[in-house]
Amino acid sequence: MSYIELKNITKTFYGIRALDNVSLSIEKGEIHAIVGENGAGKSTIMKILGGMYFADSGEIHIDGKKCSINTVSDALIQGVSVVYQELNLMPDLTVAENIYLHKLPKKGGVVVDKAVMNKNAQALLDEMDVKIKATDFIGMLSVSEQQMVEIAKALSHNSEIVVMDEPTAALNDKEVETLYKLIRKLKKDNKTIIYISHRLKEIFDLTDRLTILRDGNYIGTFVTDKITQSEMVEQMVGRKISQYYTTADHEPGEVMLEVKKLCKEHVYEDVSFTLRKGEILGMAGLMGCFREEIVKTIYGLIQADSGEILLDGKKINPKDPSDAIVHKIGFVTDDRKHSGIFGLMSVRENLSINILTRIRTFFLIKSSEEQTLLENYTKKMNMKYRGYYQRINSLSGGNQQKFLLARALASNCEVLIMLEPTRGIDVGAKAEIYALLEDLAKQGMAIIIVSSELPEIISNCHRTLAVFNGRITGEFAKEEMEENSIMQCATGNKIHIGGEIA
Amino acid sequence: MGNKKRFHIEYGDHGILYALMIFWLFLIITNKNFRGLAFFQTILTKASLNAICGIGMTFVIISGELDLSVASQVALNGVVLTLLLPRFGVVPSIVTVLLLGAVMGTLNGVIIAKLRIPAFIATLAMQMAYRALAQLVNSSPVVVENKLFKRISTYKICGVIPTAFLICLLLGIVGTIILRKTKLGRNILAIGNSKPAAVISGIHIARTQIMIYLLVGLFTAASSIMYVSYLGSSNYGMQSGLEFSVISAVVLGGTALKGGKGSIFNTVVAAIFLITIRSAMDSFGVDSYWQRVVEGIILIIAFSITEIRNIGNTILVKYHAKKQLKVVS
Amino acid sequence: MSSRAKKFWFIWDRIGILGILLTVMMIFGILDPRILKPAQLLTALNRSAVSGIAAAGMMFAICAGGFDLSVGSILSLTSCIIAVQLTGGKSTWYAIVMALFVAALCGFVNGILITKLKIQTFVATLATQLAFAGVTLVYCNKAIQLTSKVNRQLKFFSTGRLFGVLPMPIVLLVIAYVITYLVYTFSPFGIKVRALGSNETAARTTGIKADMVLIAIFVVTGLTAAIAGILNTAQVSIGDPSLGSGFELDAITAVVLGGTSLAGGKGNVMGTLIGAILVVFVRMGLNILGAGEAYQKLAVAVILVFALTINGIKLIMQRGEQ
Repeated sequence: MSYIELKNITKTFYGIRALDNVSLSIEKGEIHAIVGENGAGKSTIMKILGGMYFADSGEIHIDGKKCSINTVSDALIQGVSVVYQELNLMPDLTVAENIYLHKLPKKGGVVVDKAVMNKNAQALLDEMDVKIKATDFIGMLSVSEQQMVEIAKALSHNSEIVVMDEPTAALNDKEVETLYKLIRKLKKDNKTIIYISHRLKEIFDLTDRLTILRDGNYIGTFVTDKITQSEMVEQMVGRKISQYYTTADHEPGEVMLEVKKLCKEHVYEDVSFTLRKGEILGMAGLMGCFREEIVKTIYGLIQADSGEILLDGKKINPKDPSDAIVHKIGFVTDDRKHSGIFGLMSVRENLSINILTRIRTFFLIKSSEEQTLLENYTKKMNMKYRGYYQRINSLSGGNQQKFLLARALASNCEVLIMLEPTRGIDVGAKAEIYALLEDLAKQGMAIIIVSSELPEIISNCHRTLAVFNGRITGEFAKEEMEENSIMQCATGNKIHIGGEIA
Repeated sequence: MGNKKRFHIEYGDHGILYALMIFWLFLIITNKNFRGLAFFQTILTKASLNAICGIGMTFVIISGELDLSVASQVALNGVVLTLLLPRFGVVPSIVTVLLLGAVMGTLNGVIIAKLRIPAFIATLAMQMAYRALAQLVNSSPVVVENKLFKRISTYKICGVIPTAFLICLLLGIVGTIILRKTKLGRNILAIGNSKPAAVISGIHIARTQIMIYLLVGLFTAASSIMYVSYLGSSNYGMQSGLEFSVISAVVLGGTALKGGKGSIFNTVVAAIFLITIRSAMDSFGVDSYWQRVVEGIILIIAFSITEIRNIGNTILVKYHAKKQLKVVS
Repeated sequence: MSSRAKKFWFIWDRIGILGILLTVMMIFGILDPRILKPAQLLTALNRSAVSGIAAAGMMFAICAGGFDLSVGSILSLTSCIIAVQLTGGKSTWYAIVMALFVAALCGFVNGILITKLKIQTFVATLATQLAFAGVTLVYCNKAIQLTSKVNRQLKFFSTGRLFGVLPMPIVLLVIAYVITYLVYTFSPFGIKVRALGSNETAARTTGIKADMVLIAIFVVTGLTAAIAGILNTAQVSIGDPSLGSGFELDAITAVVLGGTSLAGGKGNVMGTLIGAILVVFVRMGLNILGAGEAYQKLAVAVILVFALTINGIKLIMQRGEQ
């Protein structure tokens, strides 16, 4: 029996299998990586081990004993502490207060012993070799420094098992070095470390073994020294390309959108690309690579610090989405529930919200025109619902997505941006949306798809950009689009613009 | 799809209407004070005064916020009205007061939307400001002499239908049209559902917010005109606490505090329901101070209705789960 | 935020409100020198004890990211309890203990509504404001004048002097703020309150008993409102069910003026005290200049909006756009 055994863990969210009967074992004292694409289930399984989520079924065994982990406190008692990707800090408190909030050292049982608290916290920080003072306020620290505090928090529990989920996401090179030292020291102290990261270099630098997950399934566990980076990426991605139909076979027209040297401090840098009429452009990348921020800038949700956006040859500077809509740019969000649908409003109202000025006379909305709009798109996109009055939040995910797409199309956009076009929707609806996008492209619409599903991008796009850390690291023409190569660029491993550079 | 079903589904559930009808039936049967045309005319009139203000408040609550300054707006409008009435006559005074309401509303809106002060605390501050201004305009009560003006709230068409109620229905229809059939109304609903989604759809949050409080200002001004007409007088302390009755009416009518949906019709019905409760308490001899406690409790229940439902659901689920286990074993 | 801005806010946080107080005092002094006479200033300090003590409690609520709008009603209730018990022949201490007990109970009710029924603090205390006011009126439906016989001991709190020298209201005010400072800075409770206000979800995940802390906060606001009510009743010698009407605004204004952020997480004990004194001083100054109660209320409202705006600007600068 291994030190940590996760057996048959299954977890479903809103009908989607995040983890499907995953079993994996981790040995004591090793540094074990969990790798996979976005949505593979890496974070989910670690959240289950850390007590944030509760598995639908399966067992956790630590040191031979079966454990019941329902809350974060349970996990801590079992000796598991987790450094999560999302920062869980309180900005108005000091570093020391954040670290010791749940067990504040007391003088005489009543007063907080600030001296002891600060000393202990500072000792932790010094051990980590970071230039942060225990008395600094979290709100004053940079994101990377906050990340280091999160790590210090986990270390303060002195747990036997430390899980780190993308710990280097916000760190600079020097801080990554510091983290390496820390992890190696922990290993020397016989602690077990589970390490989730997209950065293949780190995995090869640090870890003893690695487990690959794909689409919520366990793929395999490998000794790090005995596998190559390319093999690893292949296993992560794993699908056969022939499974998917290739579309986008018509020729795109002239240049519609041109982005030149777009920069935004700490977000993206030197972003330049073009988009043609009738072209479907894919943007691939891993979580936190800031692809969404780039397209949001085009739609006016974010302002760039410098650079230009040219639409049909004319310079534009959309200050907010209403500007973008006037420029005939459409946008479909990736988070339907929170920033997409107006849940309590009817399907008809959700559809027409962008174009109300068009369908009114004397300030009153004409229901007949609204209804016609609804019926047209229902036919065109095969939407399924009981009646025009139905609340959109009672529709299936696929239908909701169709409505969001229709909403953007209703304003007669010429450029369409879609984030995660088929996230969380069933196969049938997926196919319908792909067909729709192809149709739209054939009619001359310029489309950008930002997606975490590489097969989706490869089957639908004329061209693909790979983004890593806010920079474009790859540009692939149709013939060149191949999951492995795109992923290599998306992980920062290689650069492929006009021929490979590596 | 039959028209009746469309109406029912389109405008939300009408539980409050059925509750009102059952309540009235119950009271008519059990309480002999609860009969006679005059009695119901009074209930409808009194309810209309609150309900008109409630129309504006419905918009605010749909957008997910609260306006606590309405009582003070009524007071300021009232004292200004009685100041102008003897000098300028009915119509000019009414128009001026409506304008004043619009100004107050816009001021609220600007403070909330442009200075980015949270609505509830901004309107809490303005509540005090407007009340103080009312006191400055006129610190003593004024009695209205103008008979025509007093008729506005007290006249009954053909001796049966109170004009106050008709005006309330009329304004209710106007409000409903704004909510359902104008871009502004849709935008307000959208903001109440999801601010980020509203931004993506090109809606200007700040502009819409200012319009919301402008609407409140207008409808509150209308209700203040009705109040002065009904009471036949004004004083700077009038209608203190009105915001509780109005917010209760909106929330009881089914408009959730977190916003996103609402019905002006239901607000009006709920206002009638609340006044009926008050009349019932009066006729059963309940102390007026206990009535306030009851109204406070009603408010608490209205505010916590979603959580009460959740707790109820959890208990039901546990009960069913236990039953299942029994069946299995 | 640029470093220049950071320096500005750093200085502002520490002495900004004091600077405003001194400026206001100067302006009033120029308009009418009577205002700055020592006896007058002493009166101002005495008067600011009432709202000051309640503001100390309110500061905890706002630090945790919430509000207590029912403090005015609790103050009225307290006032009536004191009056009714004293005129009913009970001893002063009995009346005080009973008033404090009822106030704590009110705070507990608030806490339950907020933590178990999950109603937002603002909305819950809005409702209890009405409910407690109703209960007050049921208990005592008109103002009760306290005769000098009945009032003798109570009067000590308002006109008495500790050790023959220090005026009692100021003593109580100082004690309240010393306790507040100690609790806020050195107790686990103080840190947990700030944690909840700073990021409630993060605080809950660390495993602290957030619900207990919240209930405790509202018991505190209830108790400070009660102490304020006892003091106020002693000062005016009347138990009045409408005594606390609008009082919550005075308390909230003092806290916001003092620099406590509405978003929670950051409090300013000294600032709250100065804020309370400032509001009382403005009222008193306007009174001496001949401006009536209405002008005073208007002034407080304008001050509050001004303080909120500065609060909002600071928040936007700290957290960046949106």
